[in-house]
Amino acid sequence: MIAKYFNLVEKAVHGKNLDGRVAITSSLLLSLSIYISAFNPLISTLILIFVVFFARNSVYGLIASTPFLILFSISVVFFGGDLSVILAIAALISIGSGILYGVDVEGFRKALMYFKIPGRFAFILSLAFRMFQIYVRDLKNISEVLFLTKTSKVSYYKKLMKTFVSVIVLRSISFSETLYSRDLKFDYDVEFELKREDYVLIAFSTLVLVLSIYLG
Amino acid sequence: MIELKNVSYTYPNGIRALDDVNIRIEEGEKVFLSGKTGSGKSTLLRLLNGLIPNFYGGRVKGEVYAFGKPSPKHVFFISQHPEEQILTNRVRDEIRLPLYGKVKNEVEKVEEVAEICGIDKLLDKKTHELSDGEKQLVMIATALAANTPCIVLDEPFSHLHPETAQKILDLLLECDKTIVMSEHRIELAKKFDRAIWLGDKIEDEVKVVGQNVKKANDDIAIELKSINFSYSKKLFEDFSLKIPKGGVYAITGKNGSGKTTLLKIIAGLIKVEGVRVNGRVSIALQYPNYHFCENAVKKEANEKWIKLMELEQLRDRHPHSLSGGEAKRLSIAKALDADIVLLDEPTAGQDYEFRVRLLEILRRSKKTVVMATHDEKLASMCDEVVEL
Repeated sequence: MIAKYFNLVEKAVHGKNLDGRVAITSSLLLSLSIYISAFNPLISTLILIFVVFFARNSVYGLIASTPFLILFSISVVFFGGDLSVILAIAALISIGSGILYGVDVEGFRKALMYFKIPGRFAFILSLAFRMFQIYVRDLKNISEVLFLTKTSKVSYYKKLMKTFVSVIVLRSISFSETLYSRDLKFDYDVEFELKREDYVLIAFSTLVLVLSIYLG
Repeated sequence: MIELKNVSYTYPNGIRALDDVNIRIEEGEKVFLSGKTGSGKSTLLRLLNGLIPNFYGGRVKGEVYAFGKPSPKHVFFISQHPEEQILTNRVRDEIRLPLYGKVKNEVEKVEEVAEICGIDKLLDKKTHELSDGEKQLVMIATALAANTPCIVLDEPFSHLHPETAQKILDLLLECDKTIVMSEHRIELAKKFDRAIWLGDKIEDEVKVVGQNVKKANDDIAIELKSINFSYSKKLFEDFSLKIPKGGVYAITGKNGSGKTTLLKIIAGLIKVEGVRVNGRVSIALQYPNYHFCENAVKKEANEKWIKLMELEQLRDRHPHSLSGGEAKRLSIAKALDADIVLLDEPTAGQDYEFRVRLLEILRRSKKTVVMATHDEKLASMCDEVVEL
């Protein structure tokens, strides 16, 4: 079961090839819309439906977040919240997996540089993006290896975490080694190429923001 | 020019990796570096581009000169795991990365190098979609594009099909840069200008350690009946396989042909109709560190298997402090607890002598062993070979 879960997470972090600037701006606009509309269910539902149709991998992101969503829903009910908060969180998760993870690592770096983030810092942030995808696959592989050892559930999770933490450390050292051994320059001009889906996304985000201002 | 004079190196944890090494390599020379597992090949290569001691720390004695002071500016380092060296998501961006800010016509340069390496069709592909062989080709292209006079490679062929390895080797031997390559496939040594051995020289002779024995064994360990499986491309269509109990079986095929997938199908990690397995299964994946969660070798595997895999002297070491080859042996030792043992590239990082002995060791374990391998010599000595 856990291997299936990691399969979902793996699918969730490999999305479409969106323009980084558009993805970052749209994510901000859509998140802002949810906030401005005071978690209006109409805005959250609209975003949720659009993102699910726009980027299929957001469905995997939502399914993978189900345990978190269930726990969150229980807390919301316990503290007297309502469905609108749960919907808003689901919409935010879909924005994260469908739009932010829809950006190519290089696109993300270029976008950060476009927004005047220093080249070296932008590169490290974009590398974190790529490493996350590798970590998800590592976690899946470790869970598969342990699945065959038939240990108890407690021991399984203990071993999973111990191994995963070690692998993360080793991978990070290897990536640092690569960074050191490449003699890279980080400041350079970047080019962009907008596609039809980038225009659709930014247009939708702007419309939703206008609607949320009107509703808010 | 590269020159090491009376060089000794001790890691920060006190392990002495190099002892009084003297080497001189001329500009443009192609040098093959070999030696037993743990003999210090990787350490020596890391010394040449300054990773040691600048990144790893430790104590270096003696003089090291590699086109000047050891630095990544002069020496491009390629390791055996291309996955950990690829920093971007698109092939084009990866090759372009070392050119930024150094070359004016970087786009043309990327295309030129890609064409030389025969990967021009991969330029717009995403790096995570590439096979290991393709990833290593991308790394070679990146190294050739970079402005360094020397490329050092640490076992770049350990996960590659011999055909892909040959293609990469030809590219390296034809370029005008200085090449230093560490590799366990000593049969490749004669293609280089010169070979340097760390420790005793290993002779390239095949010692037959077991006959191809086809036993009339009715007990079936693994049975696949007309299985079908595909990712983005079809991997198995109406594929059947019967493996009797006991013996060592090899699965061979090019990178991306589905060897690892087949092992995962047998292990039940990928659910496919028509798979029957008789006994407990374990798997040792390519990356050995997936298998370790204890703080000492002796806690990871059964004493009997540690002895069999010749790891007794490392019993008290932390599994993550082992060299690549030693870690691989430990992951195999751990897998030997099950009835059916699935091994993915078990000879990666192993020295020539151990590669040849491995088959004998696996036979002595009396388990049913199925290994996915690119090692043609090893495969030819197995009881049966399944070519994908």
